[in-house]
Amino acid sequence: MAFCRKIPDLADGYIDRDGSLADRLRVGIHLRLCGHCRAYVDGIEVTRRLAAASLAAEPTDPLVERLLARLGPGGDRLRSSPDET
Amino acid sequence: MQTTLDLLRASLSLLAVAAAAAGAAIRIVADGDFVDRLRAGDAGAIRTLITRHHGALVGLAQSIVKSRAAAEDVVQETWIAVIEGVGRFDGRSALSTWILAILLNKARTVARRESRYVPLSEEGGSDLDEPAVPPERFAADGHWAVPPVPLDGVDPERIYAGRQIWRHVGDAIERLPPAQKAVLILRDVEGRDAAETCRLLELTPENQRILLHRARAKLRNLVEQLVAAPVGAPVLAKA
Repeated sequence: MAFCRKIPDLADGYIDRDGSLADRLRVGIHLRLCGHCRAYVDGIEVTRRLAAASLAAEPTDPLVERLLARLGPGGDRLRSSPDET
Repeated sequence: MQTTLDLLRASLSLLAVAAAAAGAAIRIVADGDFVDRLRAGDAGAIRTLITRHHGALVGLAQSIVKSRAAAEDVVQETWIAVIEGVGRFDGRSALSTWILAILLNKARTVARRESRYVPLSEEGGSDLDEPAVPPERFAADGHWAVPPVPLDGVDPERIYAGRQIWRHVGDAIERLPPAQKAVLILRDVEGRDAAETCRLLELTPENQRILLHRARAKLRNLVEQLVAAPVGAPVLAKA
């Protein structure tokens, strides 16, 4: 029985390096031999990056300004950072 | 008597532990200068911090308090607590871990006050037993009958089915069952490891593993259908 069928269940442990050593070794060897399974595992990595990108939206400026204003009267504890000047 | 394989396993395990500890140490050391800037009231540092984590925090909060509006309130209160309390941050954990713990405590408090708190361990969704890949995609001999669509070079800004793909993925994350959403955000957006995710979300290791597996499989399936679909065809994948 080809190992391909097991790859979807073992992929996370391989990617995160927290599966059993034996399983990770088997997956690693199989990925060198099987382009389809390599595409599956690489696709999970792409999906992870897309997930991070989808939540990278910046907060609204009014929210940031409200929060910055909480630091004190006139924000006197605030100093401009070098990259803001 | 230890065999060579036993020694190899032991060595690799020690290396893995050391690497994890080094990674955590690097994160804490790198925090040092940034925390000093936060304590000094550096507006640029505060803006950077909020921008870096805000989206993930809203998603995490929403997995507990359910409504988007309540989640945004929780996150705003979290930022206030962080900014006003950073002087007391002792640096024993990573700054982001400290922030996440504050957020989760506030979210649980709000949910309990509104009698809506349900432990994430009970909100994994009804699809946890479904296979990551439909069985019919494999032939009887275990090889791929319908191979995976390669996702190399998929750019978050690229348009599929009329919208940038990152928006499709964002919507799919919104629709995930609460526990799957929380685990995915902590693992793949905030970069927490399994042990820390279990601790923050009060999950068992097995539960966390299954939730992450299901969430990633759904998102991969959606992205694959978007990439593979002919222009104008509806995308039927649900997440």
